[in-house]
Amino acid sequence: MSLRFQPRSLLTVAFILLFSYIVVESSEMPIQAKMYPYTIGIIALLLLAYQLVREILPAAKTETDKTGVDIDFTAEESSKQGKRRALELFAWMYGFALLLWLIGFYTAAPLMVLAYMLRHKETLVVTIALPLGTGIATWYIFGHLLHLPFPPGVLLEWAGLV
Amino acid sequence: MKKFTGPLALGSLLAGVAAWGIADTQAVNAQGFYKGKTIKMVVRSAPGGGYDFYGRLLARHMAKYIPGNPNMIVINMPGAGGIVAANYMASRAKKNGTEIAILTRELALAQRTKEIGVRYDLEKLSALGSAASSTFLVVLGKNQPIRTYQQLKDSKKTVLFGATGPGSGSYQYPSLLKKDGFNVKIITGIIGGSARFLAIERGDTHGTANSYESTRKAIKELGLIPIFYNGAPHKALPVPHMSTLLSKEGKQLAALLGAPLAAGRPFYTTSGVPADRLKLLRDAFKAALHDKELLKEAKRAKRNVAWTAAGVMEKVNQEILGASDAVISAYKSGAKKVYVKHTAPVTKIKKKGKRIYFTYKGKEIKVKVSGKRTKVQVNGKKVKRKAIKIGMTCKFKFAGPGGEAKYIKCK
Amino acid sequence: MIDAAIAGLIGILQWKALLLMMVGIVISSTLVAMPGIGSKTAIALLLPIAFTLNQFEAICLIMSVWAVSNTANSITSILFSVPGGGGSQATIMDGYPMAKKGEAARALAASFTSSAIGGIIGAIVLLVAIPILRPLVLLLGPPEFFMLVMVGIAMVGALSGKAPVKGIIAGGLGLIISMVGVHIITGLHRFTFDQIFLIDGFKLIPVTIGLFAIPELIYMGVKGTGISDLPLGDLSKGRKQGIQDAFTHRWLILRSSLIGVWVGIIPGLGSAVADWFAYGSAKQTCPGARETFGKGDVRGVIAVDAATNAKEGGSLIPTLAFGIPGSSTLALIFGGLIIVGITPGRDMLTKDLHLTFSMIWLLIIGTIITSILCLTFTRQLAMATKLRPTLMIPVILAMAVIGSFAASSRFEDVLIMFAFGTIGYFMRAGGWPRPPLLLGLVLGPIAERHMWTSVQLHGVDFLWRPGVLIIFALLVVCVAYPMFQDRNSKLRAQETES
Repeated sequence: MSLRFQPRSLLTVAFILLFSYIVVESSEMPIQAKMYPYTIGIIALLLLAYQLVREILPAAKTETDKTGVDIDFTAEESSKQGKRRALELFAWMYGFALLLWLIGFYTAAPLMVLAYMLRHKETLVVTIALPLGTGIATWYIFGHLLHLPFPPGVLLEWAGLV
Repeated sequence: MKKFTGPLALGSLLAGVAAWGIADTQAVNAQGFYKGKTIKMVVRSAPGGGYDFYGRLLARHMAKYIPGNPNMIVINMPGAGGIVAANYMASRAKKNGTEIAILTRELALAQRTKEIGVRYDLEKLSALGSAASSTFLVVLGKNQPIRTYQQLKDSKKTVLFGATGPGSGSYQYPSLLKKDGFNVKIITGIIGGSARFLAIERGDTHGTANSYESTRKAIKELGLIPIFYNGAPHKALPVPHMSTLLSKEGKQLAALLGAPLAAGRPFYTTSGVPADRLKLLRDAFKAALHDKELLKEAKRAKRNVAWTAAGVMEKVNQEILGASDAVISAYKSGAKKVYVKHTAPVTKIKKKGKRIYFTYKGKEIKVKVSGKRTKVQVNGKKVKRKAIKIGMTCKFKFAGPGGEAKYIKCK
Repeated sequence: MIDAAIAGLIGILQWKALLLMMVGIVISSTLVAMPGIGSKTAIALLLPIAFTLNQFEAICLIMSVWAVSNTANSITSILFSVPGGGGSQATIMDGYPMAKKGEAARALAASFTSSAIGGIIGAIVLLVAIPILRPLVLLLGPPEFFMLVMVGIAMVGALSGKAPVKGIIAGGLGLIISMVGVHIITGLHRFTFDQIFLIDGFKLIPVTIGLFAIPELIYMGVKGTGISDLPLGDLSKGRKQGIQDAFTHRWLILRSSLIGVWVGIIPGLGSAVADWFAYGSAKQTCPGARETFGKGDVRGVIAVDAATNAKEGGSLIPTLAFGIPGSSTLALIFGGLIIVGITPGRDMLTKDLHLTFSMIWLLIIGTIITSILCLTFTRQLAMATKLRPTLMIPVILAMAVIGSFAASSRFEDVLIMFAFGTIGYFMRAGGWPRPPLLLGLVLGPIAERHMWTSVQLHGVDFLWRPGVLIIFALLVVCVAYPMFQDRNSKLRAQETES
């Protein structure tokens, strides 16, 4: 009997690891702190074992990825091209996070918008207007009016610019 | 904080920043320093609530006493009970006198007890002064017979106190009473003074401990009975101060709990501020707290204002930082119960079985045996404590040397 | 009482008070529409002005912010799947799919209208309850709170759709995440690895933005088209349809509003729960809902928004009865009202009854005005769904970062948001429902805390208290009713076949 391994089972396994850690970690706590995480962890592990078996066994019904209640994954997204584009967007996200850490929000946000415009070859008007607009709007509303204390950025601090 | 507008001309960006930097170094003396500058007032909690009120109050009125009339803005930096704001002031804040903060009054205590996450050193922060002193109050509901401290002490019935949880003021005060031998039980998980008052009204609990400011209304509305207070006295409170009523250890602990209350709303700035600028800030702080407009606003909002000098604040902090290990461990044992398990033969018995001695880590220590709370077993059978004899090998579970044993299982 | 009502009304209809009401409404609507900026920030900004006002004016300014925040924060939920604030997460579930189908105008209009009606119902319940306020609030204690939260947790099943096992696990995950931080009962640090940002636990807003907005962003990027790739149709007609929908489903609005009011009465449950309760209950009781909810059913939007607005009236009840603010936002508001001499408590029901009435009138009038304001701009707002993704994606990304940061000024929250964005994407890919995770996150600490407090107070016997048993019966009905319905319809289908 050949077991069917789907990439989605990785998530199930990840959850199993997580809940196992929770159970082990909470087993040493006094009863009042322990009860909830321990109980929930054990129940979850049992259900996860059942879920994993269902995903791996070929004889079981094909696992549906339609939840019936949440916004479902489309065929378009599971295609190769869909996954490639998703990967690129993750790169944008984490790149933005890195940029935020390096040069702070008020510089990183308009820069990110600008870079995105350039990547997708938008018109000149938009390429100038949107980043500028983003920069001015965020600086005025969130910086000047609301004084949100965004960290100024590691690089800029090191360079003594802030 | 330097602000950047458009991103496109990175060159003009850098040029603008360079110009700012040059302008900064041109400010030479304290008098001219603050002209055109913005002072950040960091508040240790979220908008609303006491600390935020005082932070904003000072931000509105302090600037006019600083030559150059700088702009003052308020920034909320909540987290970890005020530790986040304190860490910020100790490390990332600008050290030129443009950043001041209202920090938690338990700052010194948290540092002394080595709270998780503390990364500041109070010795390195510069105190500006305190805007008010706080009073903590223990109150009981009106639908029960106890009216005075003495009745509370003598109560045969267990008095239930509602509290948030270990580490909070509402927990520490009943915990202190319990340690001093009062018949008190603490019910945790009731968050917020309001919820605790409701619990009293509902009859679930009998009393609670809370700051006077937040309790004053409830005393009027719900008829709560104040029993005693800690911290600054209040003319409207005809009840005794806590320390007059406790045992010696209790007094020490009460003093520790009460010390932060003297500087109830403490303001600090960073280290490294030139002496003349620091004096300027301290003077402005004092002047602001005597400002007529500020006092009017505070009165309208029913918040008390009392200026405490920076020197007094620093002395209070020094006292707390210098508290003895014994008091600190007594204070901490109210927070987390960590039990030790140890097996050893019984070496001495005193007070008719109420004190059992054995060797632990090379020293002879004693544990207290309570008739009600300590589980005593011999060979698996439940017995009274006088059944323990010298020479029996027993397994003890206890909080620490001199503490009460949870169980003693002997063979 | 009638003359107090009239006096209250006249008080807020003075021109200066009215003007301040409008100012409060406009400021609140714009600020609150931005993700992460809640009504608390807006109120904190306006508080200093209160020092110069009289009582009616202060009520108008400060409370108008509060009264309208729940209406405006649905905007980004519907248009961009970015939750605008605590009470608007469940709006995403059906509001955003409607936007994707080109029905943004309808969704927005339905949301604003049901918000108005829900707010009015909340105010009316408050009015009616004034004589019985005190015994009402005293009736419920920690045991009853606990069982009520259990009802909510039972809704995890309702929110799991066709994947109950995965849904329950997701709910469990949410519960576990909610336990990171200081355990309130013992003071113990759980799962914090001694990191400060974990000591305070995971905050709801960054997790929600990450879980819902980021995967949608990625979806948009993959699809290559705007939020809606269907033609928008006649926006005015869509708006009219939305308004009509609200009136068609008036019984749903009434039911959801009552749920909202109850959640408001119970101190500590908060708006993040009112919307899910209403959503779950609508799903269980509306005909055909179990098939259509989550795919753009306007009833999902209506139920949620009516409940979150009605909740405000409910949360005033404990505030007026005991001077005990029913929510942290109300605590902030009354902190501001004290400045003008208004102290919550017994006086509000006797000496200051006219002020209480002006608050109720403000709730009603303010909600209506806000809804009209929002309805006016509905068409313009709806057009945002047709914008190119290359324009939307970077802007929404920036919004997501601001929203996550603004909640508590911690950069770690931005990282948490991105982390949950990744998790949300993989959950969608693997068919794991996300709403149960949110529900677990919101309800976890409340359930655990009330359970242990109840045990401390009454021992395990707290489960046998009459209030608890009644609510438990309600829970059983909630869970069993849809199964019953299912069985009935299956039997009927069999009958028609044979």
